[in-house]
Amino acid sequence: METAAPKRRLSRFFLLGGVVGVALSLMLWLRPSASAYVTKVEQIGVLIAAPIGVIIGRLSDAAERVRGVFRLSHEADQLRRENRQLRRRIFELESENRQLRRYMAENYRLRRLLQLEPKLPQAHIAAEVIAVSPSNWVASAVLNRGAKDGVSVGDVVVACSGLVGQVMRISQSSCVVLFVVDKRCGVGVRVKRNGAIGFVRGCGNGKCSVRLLDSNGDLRAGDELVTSGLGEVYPVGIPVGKVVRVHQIEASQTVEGIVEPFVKFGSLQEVFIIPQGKDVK
Amino acid sequence: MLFWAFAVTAFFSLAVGVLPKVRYDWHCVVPDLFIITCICVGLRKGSLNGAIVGLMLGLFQGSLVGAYHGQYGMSRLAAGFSAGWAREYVLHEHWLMPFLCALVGSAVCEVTMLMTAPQLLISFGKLDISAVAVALVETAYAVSIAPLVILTVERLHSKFSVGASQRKQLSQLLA
Repeated sequence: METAAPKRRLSRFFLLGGVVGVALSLMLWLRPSASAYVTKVEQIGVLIAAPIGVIIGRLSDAAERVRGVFRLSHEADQLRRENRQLRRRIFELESENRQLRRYMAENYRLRRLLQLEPKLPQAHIAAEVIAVSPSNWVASAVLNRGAKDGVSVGDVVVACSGLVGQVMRISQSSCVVLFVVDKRCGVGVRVKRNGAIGFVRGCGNGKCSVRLLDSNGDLRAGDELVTSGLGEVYPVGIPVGKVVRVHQIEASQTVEGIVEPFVKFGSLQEVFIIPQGKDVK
Repeated sequence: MLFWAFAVTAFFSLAVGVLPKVRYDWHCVVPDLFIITCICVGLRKGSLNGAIVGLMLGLFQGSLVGAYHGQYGMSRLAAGFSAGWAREYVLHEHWLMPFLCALVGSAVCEVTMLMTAPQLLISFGKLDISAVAVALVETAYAVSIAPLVILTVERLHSKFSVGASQRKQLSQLLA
């Protein structure tokens, strides 16, 4: 028993020395050479290692792609959320923009009304147009002020650009204004250029006609007409319209003019109601 | 339901919003959708329904105009009733039927308007030429537009009603 143990130790020693020797020999044989050519052993190693490298590379690429797909889907979710938020933001900004444009237009109209305001009497009622008459026979509109606001039949209605008409009917909270272009509406006017007095009457087709009281009066295209105040219905000095055409009436020697009102009745929104008996300063 | 909601919205948008603006901006006579609607209802649903709808629409239009509830109610009632009445006495299959009924309904409406509106008649027994011209133009609009509206409504209605019946059958099958 005592002789077997030293033999086994000796064989282990030689085995370990042999392995180290082979390893050192291989290391010295396979050392980097100065030559450009690879050795046969190296070629064999390359032949074995190359497919493995390719396979590992392919697997790595595939894993990278799978990871890219997951990342892409994650990013797509993020992009979708971001896109949704941006669209919502665009919608909010667009609606805000529209609202601001509306405010701008309203501001412009109100500024024009304020320019007219110093000419108006102290007692006037601001009103808005609720509806315009949906009929070809009557030119009228419904306003949102009525008897409880102090409106009465016969009150005069003006807009920032000129005379609108006269209140025809009232209820508690609304009133109907007959436009100056209606056939039943008549206004005493004065030609701004020479002070000639005349009478404007609605034609029913969106325009008015004017005749001067003096048959030899001077009326020309382009003349501006303002209310004369002689009928004691309309206050003095409210712009009515502009003469666009003048023609001679065959039956008499008087001339008649076609008047284009200053007020655009199709887009009328805010007006002032002047109670009867009040005059423009 | 969807069809009727769309039809009513389109009608009021056009009749109260768009056409009055066009009338004042372009200085022209625009189609009176209230008359056209009364004629269409009279043609599709008969004289009684045409008269009822005509009265309702006329009163509404009169309230918007502000002065003549009775005049507008009466004339639109006459339009709806006469269009439905004419349909019952005219050959149904003839292609001219909607045009003739629209002509009868519109003409009765305009004559009623002229007869019940003394402010539109000039003294000495002469009619106001411009009022007659407005009446003629409105009649022409009604005769040309009402048959088109009838045709469109029938097509849309059949399409929507067929879709509804199919959905109903499908829901019954699924149940």
